[in-house]
Amino acid sequence: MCRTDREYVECCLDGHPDTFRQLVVRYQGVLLSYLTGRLGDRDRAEEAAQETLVRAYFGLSKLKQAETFCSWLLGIATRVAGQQQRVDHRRREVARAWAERGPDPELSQDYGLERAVAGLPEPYRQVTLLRYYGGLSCAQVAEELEVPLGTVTKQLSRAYGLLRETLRQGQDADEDREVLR
Amino acid sequence: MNCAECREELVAYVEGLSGPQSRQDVARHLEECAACRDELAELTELRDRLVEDGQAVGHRSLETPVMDRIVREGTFKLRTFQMRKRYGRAGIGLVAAVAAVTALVVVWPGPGNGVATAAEVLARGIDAIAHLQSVYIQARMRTIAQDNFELIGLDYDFVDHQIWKQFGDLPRWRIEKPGRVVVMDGESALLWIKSANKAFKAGPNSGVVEWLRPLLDPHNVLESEQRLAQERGSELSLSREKGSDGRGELVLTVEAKARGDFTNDWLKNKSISASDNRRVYRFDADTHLLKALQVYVHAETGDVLVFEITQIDYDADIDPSLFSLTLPEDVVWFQRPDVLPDNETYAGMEPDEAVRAFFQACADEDWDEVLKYWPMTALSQEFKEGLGGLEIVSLGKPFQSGRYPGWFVPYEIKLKSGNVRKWNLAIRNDNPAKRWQADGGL
Repeated sequence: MCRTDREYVECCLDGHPDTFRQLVVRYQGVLLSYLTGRLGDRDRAEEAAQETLVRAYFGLSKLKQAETFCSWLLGIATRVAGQQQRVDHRRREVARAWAERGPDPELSQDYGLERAVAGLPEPYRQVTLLRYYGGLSCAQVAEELEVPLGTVTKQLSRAYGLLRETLRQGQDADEDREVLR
Repeated sequence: MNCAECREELVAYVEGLSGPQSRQDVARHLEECAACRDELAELTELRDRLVEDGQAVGHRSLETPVMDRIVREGTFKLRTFQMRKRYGRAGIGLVAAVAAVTALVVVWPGPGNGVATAAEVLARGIDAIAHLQSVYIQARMRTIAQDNFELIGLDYDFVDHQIWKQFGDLPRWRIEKPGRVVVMDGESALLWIKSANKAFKAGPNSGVVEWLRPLLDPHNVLESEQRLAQERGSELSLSREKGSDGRGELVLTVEAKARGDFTNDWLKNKSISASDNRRVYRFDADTHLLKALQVYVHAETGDVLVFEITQIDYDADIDPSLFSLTLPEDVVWFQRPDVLPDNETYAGMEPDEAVRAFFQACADEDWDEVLKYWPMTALSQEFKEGLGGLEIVSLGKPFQSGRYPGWFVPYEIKLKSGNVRKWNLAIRNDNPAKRWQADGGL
């Protein structure tokens, strides 16, 4: 039975393409969370997550080390989100050009937690995504990333610190906005 | 344990990963320290938010839409590619193109270059060919050395074949087996039947090499097979395997049915297209170039290997002299029948009447008359000695078989040597003069 990312990837490349659905199931939450954080919208995140997984499937052979599937996938997701943001930006520019004084569209104010997670530096982001959005235990994360369990808890600990800081800053900014209104 | 040590352990504590001693130490410190209890409460709240958020996201399943899209995009890419290839330059509208591409076989689009869509493999194969200079193939086929390149026989021995192809603005090629050779020098193809010293000149795209033609463009076999799948309903599948040399291979398997009407099965299994067969193409997974091919005929007694590539070399140096052919001076040429002054006499015959007239002319040694049924400029001495003075024992009822455009007439003749020959003479009149011409089976 396939179990780790590497085994799933190798299974796929060895003529069992349907195995890819296991990777979809494993990473759908991770991608939805990450992309929601990047794009600020759950529906657009879902579209981007689908696009990411499809691109990953057709580019699977370009993955040099199967065990790095997760970070490779997040790299694709980052590019997909970047492209989506550029499209959004162009749309906003066009909208601005046509509107005499249009409101400045902003990202949704929801999904602050996802945004904070998406904004974490690696490796803290990957560990957090796998643990809470990929449904893996810390031990499974350690196995998947091929690092000691202690490293995972240390990285999670650091991730918690960074998340709290980011969320606190976001909260402060929100409060400032309230005061200014 | 002090506060710093406690906070370092808190995530492991929240995650339930602390060892018994550490857990006890943290718990004891928390009882005494309000600040660390606040820290724990914040961490737990954040953990709960993450867990809750993760669970909410987990309710959205991407499995079906993603897997559906992979299959759909694989097929779409295949269609788009074919439409562009077929209609892009011709300027035919998209509607017509879409209408034309209807019955495409869906190939499971495998991941990456591992088992990419057929279209991707095809596209990469074409990329690869852009840099190819030449191809040299050694193959073997169950056939008869001097017979046509299409003939196979399940109980025939293997006959070696060689194929050379030089790419370029004016592609040239040569296909050879012990009894026959065809050379295309860039402008026309020349077939020489060595044993009978007969020759035939045709255009660069003539069908003289029949089934072997697709192998002249090994980068195009996938496209060619996809086209056949569309036109003839063969089944394609693509998979990835590890070759005997340890390298990755893309394996294209084609299951094809015999083509034609086999109410009379005379032609069944006498060519690859007239057989139920499986063609297994192996492409190198990295270069996407063809590296092997096996063709098996599904016979009543089991599968019989009838053709296989034994070696294929790309970009080998090919001696340019292979692409020209010097024929013996006394070579006899095939020729198409002209319309004769008394053409109606011949064009109005039934197949068996024409066969009887042909054999009778041989019996009478009326060689000018024989040539009216024999598509050559002259008759060899061997032909005259073999068939002159024969005796017609019997002629059977003409029949058709497979996709052969002419007829077969069963015959039994007794030669001057005393030998009796009993076979089916192939005869056809699909020429401008509509005259019957013996085409094989002597």
